[in-house]
Amino acid sequence: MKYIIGVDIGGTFTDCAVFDTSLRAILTAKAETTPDNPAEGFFNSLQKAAADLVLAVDSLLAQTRILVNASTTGTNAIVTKRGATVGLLTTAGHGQSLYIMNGGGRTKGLTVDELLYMAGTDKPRPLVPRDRIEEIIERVDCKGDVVVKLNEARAEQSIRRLLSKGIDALAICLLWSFQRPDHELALKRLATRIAPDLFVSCSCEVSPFMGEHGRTVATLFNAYIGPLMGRYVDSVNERARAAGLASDVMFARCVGGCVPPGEAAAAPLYTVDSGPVSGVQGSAVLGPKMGFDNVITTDMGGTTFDVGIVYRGTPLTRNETVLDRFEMRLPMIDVISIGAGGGSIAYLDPASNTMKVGPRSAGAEPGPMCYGKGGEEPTVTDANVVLGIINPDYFLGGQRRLDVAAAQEGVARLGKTLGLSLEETAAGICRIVDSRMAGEIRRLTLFRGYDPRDFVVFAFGGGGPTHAGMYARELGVKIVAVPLGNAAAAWSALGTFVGGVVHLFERNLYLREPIDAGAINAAFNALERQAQERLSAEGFERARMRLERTIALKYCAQVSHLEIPLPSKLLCNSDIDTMIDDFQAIYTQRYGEGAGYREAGVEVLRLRLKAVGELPAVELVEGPTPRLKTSPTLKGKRQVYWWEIARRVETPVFDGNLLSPGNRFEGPSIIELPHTTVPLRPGQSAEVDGFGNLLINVMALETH
Amino acid sequence: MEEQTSALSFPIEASKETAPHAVDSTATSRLDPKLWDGFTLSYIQREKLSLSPKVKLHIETASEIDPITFEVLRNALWILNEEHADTIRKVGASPVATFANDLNTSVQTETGEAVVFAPYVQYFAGVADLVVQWTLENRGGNPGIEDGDIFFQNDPLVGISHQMDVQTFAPVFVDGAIFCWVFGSVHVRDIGGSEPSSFCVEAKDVYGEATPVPPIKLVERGRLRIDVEQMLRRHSRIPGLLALDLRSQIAGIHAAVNRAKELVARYGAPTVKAAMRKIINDASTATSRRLSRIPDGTWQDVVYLGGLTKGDRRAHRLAMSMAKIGDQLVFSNEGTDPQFGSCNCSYGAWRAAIAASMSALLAWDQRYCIGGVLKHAQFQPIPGTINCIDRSGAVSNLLAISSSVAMSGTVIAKMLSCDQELQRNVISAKGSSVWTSFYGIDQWRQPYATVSLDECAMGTGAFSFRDGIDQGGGSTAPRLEAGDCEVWEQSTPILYLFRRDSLGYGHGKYRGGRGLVVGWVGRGTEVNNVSAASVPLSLPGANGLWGGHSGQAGLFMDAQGCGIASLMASGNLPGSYEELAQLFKLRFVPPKSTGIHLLEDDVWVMDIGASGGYGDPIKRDPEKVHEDVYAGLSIEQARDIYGVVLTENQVDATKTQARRRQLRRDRIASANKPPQPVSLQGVNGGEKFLFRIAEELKVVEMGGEKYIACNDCGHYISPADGNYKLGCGRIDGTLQDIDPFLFGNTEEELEDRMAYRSYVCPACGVLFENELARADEPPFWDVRLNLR
Repeated sequence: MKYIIGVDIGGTFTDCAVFDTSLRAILTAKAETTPDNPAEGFFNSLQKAAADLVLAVDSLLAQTRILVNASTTGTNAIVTKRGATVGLLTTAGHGQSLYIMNGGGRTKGLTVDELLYMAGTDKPRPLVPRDRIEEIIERVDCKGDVVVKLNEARAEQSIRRLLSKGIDALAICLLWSFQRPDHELALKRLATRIAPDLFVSCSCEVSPFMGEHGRTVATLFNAYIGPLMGRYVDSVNERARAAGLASDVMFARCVGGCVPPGEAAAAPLYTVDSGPVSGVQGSAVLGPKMGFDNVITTDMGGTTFDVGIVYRGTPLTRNETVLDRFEMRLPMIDVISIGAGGGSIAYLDPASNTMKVGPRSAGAEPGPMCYGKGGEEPTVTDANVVLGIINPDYFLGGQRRLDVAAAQEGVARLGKTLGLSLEETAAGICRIVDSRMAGEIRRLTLFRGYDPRDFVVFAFGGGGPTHAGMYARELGVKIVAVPLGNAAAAWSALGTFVGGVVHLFERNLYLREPIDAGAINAAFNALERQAQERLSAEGFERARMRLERTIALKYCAQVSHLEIPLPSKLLCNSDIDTMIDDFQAIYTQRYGEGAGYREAGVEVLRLRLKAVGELPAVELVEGPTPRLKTSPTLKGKRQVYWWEIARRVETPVFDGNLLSPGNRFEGPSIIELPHTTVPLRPGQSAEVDGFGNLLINVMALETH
Repeated sequence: MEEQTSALSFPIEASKETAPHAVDSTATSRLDPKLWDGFTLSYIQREKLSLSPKVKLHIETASEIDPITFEVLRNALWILNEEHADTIRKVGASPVATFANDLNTSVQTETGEAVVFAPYVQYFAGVADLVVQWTLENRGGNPGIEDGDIFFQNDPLVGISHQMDVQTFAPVFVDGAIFCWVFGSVHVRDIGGSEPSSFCVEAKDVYGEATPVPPIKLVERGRLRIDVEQMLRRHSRIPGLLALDLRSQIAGIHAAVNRAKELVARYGAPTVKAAMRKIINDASTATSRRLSRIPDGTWQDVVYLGGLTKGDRRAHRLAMSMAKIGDQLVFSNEGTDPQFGSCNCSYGAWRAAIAASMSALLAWDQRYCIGGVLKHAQFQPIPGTINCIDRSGAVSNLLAISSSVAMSGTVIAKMLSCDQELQRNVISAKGSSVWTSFYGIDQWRQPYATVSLDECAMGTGAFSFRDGIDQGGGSTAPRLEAGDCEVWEQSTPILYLFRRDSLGYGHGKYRGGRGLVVGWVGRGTEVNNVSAASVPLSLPGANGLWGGHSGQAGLFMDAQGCGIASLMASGNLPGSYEELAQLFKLRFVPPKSTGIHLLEDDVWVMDIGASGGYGDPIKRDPEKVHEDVYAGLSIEQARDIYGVVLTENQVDATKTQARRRQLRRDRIASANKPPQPVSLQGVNGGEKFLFRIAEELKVVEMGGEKYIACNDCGHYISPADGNYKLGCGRIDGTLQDIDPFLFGNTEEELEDRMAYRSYVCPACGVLFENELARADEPPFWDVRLNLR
């Protein structure tokens, strides 16, 4: 049982990462994603990995201890509107909350340029029509006290009415249910009694957070993808088990880590964004092992650019996310995406007579012009081909030949309208997309009080390593790491299995000063008991359980809260003082000196317990780095245009397959890996460290 | 290889360098700047700023900027400004700012021209140029403007909507000179005045409201001035929260100033300034190009406001006219009644409201760059009026601003109706403002005061091609939100019995968007009061467009000690307005009411109203009307307003056709004869079509003369330069004819006699336009073409 495997099903490719625990080596493979039946791509990627190991799939699986899957199946069902027929139960008087969307629905999830054109905006189409929403007589207040008791007899009629309309999933979201779940749970029992096979989703279980709209959306999405995800989880698991896997397939989640199939099927919403999150998770676990505690993770694919932050070894988290133009309450590792990728289209904006790049994308079909599949507008990839950065004969390791003439024609056509040369235009496309990506990183760092200069940028995905040298420079970042060389292209697959099994337990607890340490202790004790029961039921011994406490605090009457870590012990009053001091320190770091107002008092909002069942650790080998820097293997030379020096120069090209610790490169040069290309810009240099990371020394651009 | 240069580097206007202190010259120049100084009367923009020699402006601008660097800088400036707003939202104490985004931030040039605004409340930022210019003129010499200073101000005469929308702004210094300004405004919960939360319903003048503070240094060379902070805190009932709000603004300013300095260090001051100027120039070019598509003329809108103080029974007239000459728009408020009560606004706010409408309708693709848009606006304010106060005018209740946004939106929409392409932007209005203020002791035993934000979920007006968006929010505040009921119940001792679609909407070919109706009871408190602010039902202030009917004002109802507490304790929950109305006797609450109890046995209902409709209702798709009936329209309204007959819950096509023909005949029969009919009778197709001016009106040419004609039947209505209404049949009715419940009885509510007048084609009976006017007024001349 020597292998640990992660499979990340992305929009274009399904990536597979295999970790050999005895050799401590990593192998990656890529297969095309098969949207109609994602399990196909899943097993194809396993097949390719097995072939590289000279094994049959069943013997690979028979030797596998853990297999983790990150999947876009749930997200796709939501985006393509192929989910279940859902009914919704809400508190009486609030049945229109889903449509009212707090008055913000018209512009939610739109880019600035979209939302400012009033006539072009509208609310998204709701997932549930009005006649499938039933209002329940019951009411709880903000303290969890019952104001109106649940009328079960009427509720039963409501549920039967919905069933007669053919629902195959039911979402239940009542006001303040996260403070007092009784009424929701009673309705769930009722529904399950009437229709035992119905998929039922309760807001107090899916999204126990304040804010009924976001909670309703989360609960509804969970119900919407519930039946379909149940089938997906079963089919993948059964097929893997049949092929020889000794344990159940685990499923990666947006809170980091993974869970067994039963839990993935019960709370499928948490598989949303599990791929990009796994990339951050991988960086958070493996980064510190390689000496990087503060990491900006950047994943540039064909359509999107995903950014995450790891600070002192811990990923940032958030509680809201917008999916398909609906905002919901869902705790997750913070990854933000913008429409910027290799397929992003460059065009002339007639209003300002300037060039814009993205967010519109040529996607995989028709793809960039150089794919020769009918793309008619130039993209970022086309620009990189024109500049000579991407080798048209070695794209995806030579699997796809690129049409240079088509790319040149498209870029030149755009340049003509702007009065720019072919190269200026191509370089301009890259500069604009790089500045947008840098802007997004600013949003995730500076807006949250982090200085990007204190971080290393991890560049992964197909496009990350190609552009990181530019966007990192915009931010003043000194080092870019292409982690573990070619493994960077399947980094998210690797990230799925490094976080362990993770469960979150939440408890809303509203306390004002003087804060009662006893109340916090009691609440955490209860949560820990729950957590230990869950983990031991999954077969974890005490020694392999890790329980981490956080507490959400804020200044009274203020709106923004912070989650800060708490020690796992019985708290006394002096610990409360320490906790408040920590809160203030972090607050000041985030928002600046004087931004907090101690006199207003501090209040407790919520407790969270993260329960981790530890899986066998991925231990990396750090090879010796020779004192003398070695020359890497030169593959050839070609003319590459570098805008910093405004001309083409003969540029050395190195074979990324043959990197070894101690290799040193000077820019301008190009390093070609099978699944990505790393340009070293003029003035930049790079080295391969003992782990096989390619570290780029960014250097500030000398202008003005 | 062929030598090629960046041929398309953008030349940047050099005028700023030859006349560094010049700002746009406008029609306001005929106003005496000594009088319009922000102290006696509102501050108006100057032809040339009068600056102390101590003020050093950093004016150097690169003569050109390449398109790539420009796009990079445009993004960077946008992100910088967003970071400013984001910081305020996160640090601030005010849920009004953080949840409802009742704030804005901007970057202004060294002389105050607006470059970028965050996508929040647009009329906040639309006064920023005036405030910066006032500060340059009045603070430059004494006490001086220095690096590290942050100014505070909330004086309406300098330029602010009302005292609660406090502004903080700071110069960004480069090499010892002012390079640009960063500017923020946030609605704070209480800054003084006679009423908690500072909406001073009873104020007769500004002295009954929170004391305005003209620009003063809150931070001096990087150090917070404790004396100034304490003075501001002393004004507020909740000084701690105000202090927190001020800190959020300081934090936001710090972030923005630092980022601006970094940009200058990276790209050089002349290049960054060139990008700023080009952003403004691009918006100006786009605005100019669009205006050039439209014939010259003057468009007008009139709205009546009422209930401006407790017991006010008069209808107060607001007028806005907009003359279009080439690519300039000249706005005037002539015909507006004198300032009254606390619902007025200053010149700066009126201008900002207009600028907000202009940018949304003419520069939507320029990220609402008001600096460029304002190059095409001139203003002719009449002081002492509801929308241009003199020194004493009270402003805390805002109504004049929301009305000015709506009215400027209407006159621009009417103008855009002349162009086929721009017609898509035409949208009807939602003008009035309805809100509830709360104060008392909350369920956590703390004193509190706040204002409801449900009104942010207003419906958009009807478009020229589709219905208004229910709860779509205002066009000039695209990210304003009402917040979750739970969030409000956590911080306020109330329960939402329900939150649903408002009870009505403006009827039309395309209907207006619905707002909300909410029902509240008190919870967990023994001391809890509400105050109401709205307008009389008979003066809704939400005009429809081109035959679409008026939207609703919104309303308040209550039931005190009604027994709902025991009802709920026994397991009942009235979950809609209709259920409440069946159970309890609900009382209409007058539009301005204060100090009403809201405890556990009291009920408070607020409907925030709905927007006006677009086009003649009898042209609405009958299937849509069928859907409307499903959503609450009565069968009678379907028949009498829309001419749609439903049989067995299906549209009866034959009867509907007959009913619609009958409605046209009824209209012609009940209309007064046109006072000035055109003798020549037109026949569709026999003449040359020039352009449309309204949904059912067009301009045609016949025998060398131009006429306004009915678009439906071709009938000639009036000469092209005349008032079409004089060639129409006029039906004098009341709003209650449309809906007796939602529009209220004029005679009960008002001293003034009002008429709701519909103008129809005397030949075919199609409805051109409606207007709400004093009964003795001549028809409004809303479209006055100048085709020379």
